[in-house]
Amino acid sequence: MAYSTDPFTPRTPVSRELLERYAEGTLTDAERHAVELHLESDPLLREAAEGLQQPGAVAAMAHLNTQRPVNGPNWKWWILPLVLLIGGVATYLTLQMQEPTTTTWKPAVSVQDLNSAQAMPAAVESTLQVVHAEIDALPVAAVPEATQRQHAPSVPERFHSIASKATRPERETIDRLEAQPVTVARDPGTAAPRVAKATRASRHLVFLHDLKVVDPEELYGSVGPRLRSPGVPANVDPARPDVVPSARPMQSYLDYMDLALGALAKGNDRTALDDLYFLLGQFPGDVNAQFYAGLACYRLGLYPRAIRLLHAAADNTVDSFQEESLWYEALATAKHDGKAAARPALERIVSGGGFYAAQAKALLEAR
Amino acid sequence: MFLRNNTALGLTDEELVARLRAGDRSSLGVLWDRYAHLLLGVAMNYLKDVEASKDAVMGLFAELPALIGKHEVQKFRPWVHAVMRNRCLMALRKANPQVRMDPALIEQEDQGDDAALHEASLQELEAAIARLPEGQEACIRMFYLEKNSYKQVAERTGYPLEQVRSHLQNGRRNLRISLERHGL
Repeated sequence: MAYSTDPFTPRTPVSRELLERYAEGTLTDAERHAVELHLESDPLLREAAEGLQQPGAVAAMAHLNTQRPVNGPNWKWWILPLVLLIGGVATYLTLQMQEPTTTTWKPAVSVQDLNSAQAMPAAVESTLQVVHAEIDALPVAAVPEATQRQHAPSVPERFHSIASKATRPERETIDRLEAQPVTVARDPGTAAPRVAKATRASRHLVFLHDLKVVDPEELYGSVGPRLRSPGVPANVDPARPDVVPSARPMQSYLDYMDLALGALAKGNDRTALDDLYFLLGQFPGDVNAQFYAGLACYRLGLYPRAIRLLHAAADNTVDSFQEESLWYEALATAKHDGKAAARPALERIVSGGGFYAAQAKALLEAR
Repeated sequence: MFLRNNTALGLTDEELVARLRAGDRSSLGVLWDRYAHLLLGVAMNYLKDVEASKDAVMGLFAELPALIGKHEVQKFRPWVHAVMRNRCLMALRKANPQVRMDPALIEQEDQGDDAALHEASLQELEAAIARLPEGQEACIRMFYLEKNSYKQVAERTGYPLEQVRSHLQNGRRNLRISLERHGL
């Protein structure tokens, strides 16, 4: 028979405040005994209580609390981006004043060459304008058919509303063809079996509207790219809406994602999808955009597109969205191709043992 | 899970570790709330210096995601305790390689299973306490059964505070061994 009033088991937890008062010696005898009962069975608490009785330790506890890691990036993580930002602004101003003939900065992502036109001297920019004019003059047939098919959806509808639909999409397509090949479109049915990738534990995340985003520093190795605004610049000539200045408004990656995910969080899936497609047009391998665009497609009932995007996110070398991508890919597959088709993805989720494992198992067992 | 989970407060340490390993930085804040002040106390116990102790805690938490990625952590509490203790000992040795460690500081914790203590009946417990050496028996009886604090036990027995604690730890261990030998 068990001893009904086990004298060795503490009855109440030791809060931080209680431990602080214990260290200060301001507890009653009964309260002291309650804390000391914990000390007898908990080596960590015992050593901590001893150490906190050292001079200055209790005051240090309060100060230490101000150093608590934040849920998003710690302020220390912003020092480097801030320095780079200040340096970037200084460089921009210097270039504007000196009008150098060459650029020395080479971005990690090739598409940023297009964006950097905003910071280029007038001579280079005028050359770009000539090139753009030549591109505009190219016949539509010059654009490879496959590329048209892949890029066409990535032009946001809001852009179409101002620009001439006969000329603007091709111009955008050619820009992006020079930038990077699109790798999103893929048939999951014929894709090779996925190779399990090692999970990298220290991937840095930030949260926008309570939605996780892989820190752009993790993706691009710097403060993140500058993105063209998907909107039409305010300096477009209303008389000639098809002529869009080459120097368009630029946004930081996180500012851009903040708007896109803000729309998604409010249920404006169409707007979010436009913005995310626009980002994918410039950075096709961006895992954040792949996943959330896939999610938006799923919610809009665009299941084939959702499956393609989520498949790409699940296979992305940045594996931070792997499980959730598989989960929504399975749901989209079940909606589009039937429950049996979703079985492999669900089984993979179950074997992974992650957050969606129980739900996936329940779905499998329900069949 | 792509949504920020605001229910992390209710998760166990091991669940938080799993989430941190998966890249969820918010779990680090919850672990900080649970352990930073305790680890500060541990560091103070060894380093005897407020600033060095704060640095030790912040350094440990800065490296925690990477450490968790490298090591299999089955029970976070004893693991993080051992990590902090090792770091403090390394810091002490680095500051003075000739320093001799206080045996009390590097003493291995008694990691025995207390199941026998918790499952013993009143009669079994009384019999086992009676078999303890005199000092241990008195301290165990006053502390556990009569619910006196260390200070009160010291006052009643006349033992110094440190000896009371020593009697309690040794008595508890002997009590467990005695109960296990007698069938529990």
